[in-house]
Amino acid sequence: MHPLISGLLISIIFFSLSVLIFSKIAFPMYAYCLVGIAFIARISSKKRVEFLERCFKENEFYRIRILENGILALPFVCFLIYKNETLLSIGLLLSSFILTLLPVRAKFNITIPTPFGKFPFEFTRGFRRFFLLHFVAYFVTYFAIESNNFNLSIFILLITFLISAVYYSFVEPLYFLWIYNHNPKLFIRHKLRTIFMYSLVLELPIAISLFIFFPAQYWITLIALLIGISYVALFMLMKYVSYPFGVTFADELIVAACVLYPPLILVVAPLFYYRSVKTLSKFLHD
Amino acid sequence: MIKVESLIKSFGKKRILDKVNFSFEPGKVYGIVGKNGAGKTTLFECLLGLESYSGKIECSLGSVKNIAGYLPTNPYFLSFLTGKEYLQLMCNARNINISSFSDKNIFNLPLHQYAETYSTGMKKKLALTGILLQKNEIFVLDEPYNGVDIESNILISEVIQRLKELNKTIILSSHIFSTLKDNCDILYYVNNGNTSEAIEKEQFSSIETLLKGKEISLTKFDF
Repeated sequence: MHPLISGLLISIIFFSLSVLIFSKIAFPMYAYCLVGIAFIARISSKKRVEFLERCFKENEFYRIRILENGILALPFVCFLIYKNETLLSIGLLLSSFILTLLPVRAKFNITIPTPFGKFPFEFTRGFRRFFLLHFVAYFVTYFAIESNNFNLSIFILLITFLISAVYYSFVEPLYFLWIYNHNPKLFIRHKLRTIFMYSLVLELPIAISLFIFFPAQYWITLIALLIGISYVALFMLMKYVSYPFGVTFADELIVAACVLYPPLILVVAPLFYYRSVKTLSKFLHD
Repeated sequence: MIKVESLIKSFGKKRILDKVNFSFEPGKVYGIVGKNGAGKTTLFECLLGLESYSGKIECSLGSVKNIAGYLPTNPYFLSFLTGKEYLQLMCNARNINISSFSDKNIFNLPLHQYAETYSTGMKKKLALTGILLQKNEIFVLDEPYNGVDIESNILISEVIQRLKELNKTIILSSHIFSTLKDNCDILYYVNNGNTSEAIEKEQFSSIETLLKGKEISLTKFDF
């Protein structure tokens, strides 16, 4: 994905989630700080930190680590200042610096279970990377339903579909395409079937809750489900349109337009399907 | 049977393979030998359709890529996928249903762990298990013995012999000449973009001499 688009998407998601935390949780500033610290700690992966430790002298290593953690803490700090929580923002920034001094030796080699073992790939990997975001989404949906806010629930439903769509932004090495003995059409059909099944598995808790608590608006929930699945399918097709190279900026703009104005999907999806079949035919055949 | 005729592969102006010819038959083990950078991996990747080339590659069983399993020198594993999920992915790619992977785990790998965290040898064994489960007709093994412990080396040799009995075509490369001598029926020597004629078992020692090349002696000034 183009850095500009991904930056914009991340900023929107970050700001929306921050606003949600502050509007829906009791003592949100403390929860927000905890989320920030957990995020910074998670980014400090053992492999990367060890690599930096090997490459740089001690002074340079700590300077880099402090800079990294400071940059990661910055959005949280800014949002806390915006919410007039200056003292906490300073505390968060200092905590991020202190985290650089802690040895990141402990390795949590825990395999996160997923319901996607039958067709492992994008959903399995994506869920393991972003499962916290899905749980936050379920949590926010709970509050949205409690406050009888249907629009917010639908918004969260679509956001979680977009999180699933991001799973398809990784362009796999050629080997993982080459192993298939399917032709391009069959390969894409296989991917679409997986998207349909697994998106629904992830969205089921939200969708069922909406059907139960907002039965009158069931048709809006159904349309949102359909649009959400189309988002994921579109991201998948976008990946294979220009495979094995990265996604082009033009295609990203087209997909961004589809996300903002879903009826466009009806035109763009067949076009992307045709283009991806053509590209994949260079690598896959009967 | 696979027939390679006048295969040419260049990277920019550098010609890696220059009109090379091979033929591979089922039920035989072929060794591709050559020094580092001779073009062995490039040859494998052309044969499997992972690299573009000019020339002709014919296979009596249809498209090579759909019936071949490839074990690269350094197998790559996707992060956040367990060993079991990797095997499942490999089977899905060929529409193969397997109910229990623990029965197929010939190398006793910790299949519940992320494959990315495996050691070099374990990764190689997992990748090999993956292509074995795909029930391929052709096996291309690039340095299968690299980084693998002695016990597994013996097991890999047994696997190769079993595949031969099953009338599969096995093509492998190795820098450990003894493994080629023990396992292969025919050798091809790749040098400067060209290949030798098929060399039968009785003449293997001549290849070993060629591979050793000139004796190189180090002086105290070399470093």
